[in-house]
Amino acid sequence: MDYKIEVKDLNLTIKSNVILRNINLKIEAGKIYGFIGRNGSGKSMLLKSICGLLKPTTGNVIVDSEDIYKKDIFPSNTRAFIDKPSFIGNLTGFENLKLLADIQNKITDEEIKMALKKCDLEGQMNKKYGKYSLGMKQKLAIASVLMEDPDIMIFDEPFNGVDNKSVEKIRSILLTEKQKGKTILIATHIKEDIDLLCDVIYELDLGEIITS
Amino acid sequence: MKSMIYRDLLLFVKKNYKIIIFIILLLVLKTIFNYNNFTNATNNINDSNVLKQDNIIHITSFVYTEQLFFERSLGLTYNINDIIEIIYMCLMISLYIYTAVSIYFSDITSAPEQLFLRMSKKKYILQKLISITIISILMTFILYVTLFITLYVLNVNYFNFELLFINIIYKIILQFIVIALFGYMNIFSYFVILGLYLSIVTFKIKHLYFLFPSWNNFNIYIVIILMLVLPLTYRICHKKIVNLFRKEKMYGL
Repeated sequence: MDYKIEVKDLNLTIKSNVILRNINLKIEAGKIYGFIGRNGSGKSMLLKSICGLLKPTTGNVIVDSEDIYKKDIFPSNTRAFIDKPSFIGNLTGFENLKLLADIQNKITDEEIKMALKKCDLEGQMNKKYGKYSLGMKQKLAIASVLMEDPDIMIFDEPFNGVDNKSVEKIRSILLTEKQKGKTILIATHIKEDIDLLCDVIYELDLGEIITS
Repeated sequence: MKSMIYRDLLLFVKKNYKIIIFIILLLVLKTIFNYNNFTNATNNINDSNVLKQDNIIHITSFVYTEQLFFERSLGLTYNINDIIEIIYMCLMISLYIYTAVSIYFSDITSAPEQLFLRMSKKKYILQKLISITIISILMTFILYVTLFITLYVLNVNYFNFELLFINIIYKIILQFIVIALFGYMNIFSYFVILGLYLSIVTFKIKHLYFLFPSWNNFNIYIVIILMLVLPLTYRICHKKIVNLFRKEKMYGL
């Protein structure tokens, strides 16, 4: 069976601190995977490694049959939102997304607006990012992942600071994306956030997967 | 590419506008200060006693010409006996070193996934080197305009466009070397580059003014050095880019 993402014997050590230890994952297309664990358990580091941003000390990350570290590339058709949202404060939400979309020039302004609408930011798209609340910033980061319709979507703590109504909305968006065959990875420290959403949940502690 | 350069410019201005204003004010003050020294020096030279046979060779290299006044106001060269001039020049060099580091690392420290999943490493590095070059040219141009206005107010009728060109190339070489070294040597690369630059300028002041009075030949060498430094920087940056994410905290970025 061809997996969308395969992580093989991944170990990551930074300055003699073991961050990730012996991680093995087989991620199938069209499913939502959750990663839970307390702060510092290695969730974000694992997602960064999958994105090609943290070269493992040993092991492989294979995305769409390509070993990204061996080939020295970033995974294609993947979008991610890791750590905290980061955009330019004196540009509007729309302008920030447009700036990112212009890199590949694959989508139109209408599609950007559609992504903003999906995330309930339609009314705030012309407001400066610097004036956004934490919840709105999170939603803009989610919209930046969704807008180009990638095959793999990676979210780190996507529900931080988001109100209950918006959490429900984001959940339903992710479920719709899953039905379209997208592969979604979500990391959070609150199990309840992803219990209803995920097909498979991995629990991490001290850089190791302890249960699935 | 265009949108990314625009993004870099916006991020840089937003983060550093206070530093830019400070440097502009410093340039104006230093030019006024230099103007006083310049007029005093000119008056001394006009004093015929100074121009005795024994003194003439000794003072030739220190004659305060308009070009020297211009260069010192921009922090391109310095009076080796004046600590304020050395500090001012170090500040000017530091501004360019900081600019390069700030632009190059702006995306590595905040949400790198937004860019790297949308573009290849090759494209990213090329775009960053272009951004550094364009922003440095803009900054140099702003400093020149400031100097031009100050000189106009001071009634000094001198402007050297050749120096503008060579200054830009100097600063770009300097910035590329910093970027290439930064991943390996972090903060020490700053002092290494600063020391190297000061040594070159001191060597230039002591020897090269006599070897290249018109500067034309020397300018060609500088362009050749830039052509050599550019691919070397690109190769080094490409090799180390992923390791930077791992080390970002180590660098205190």
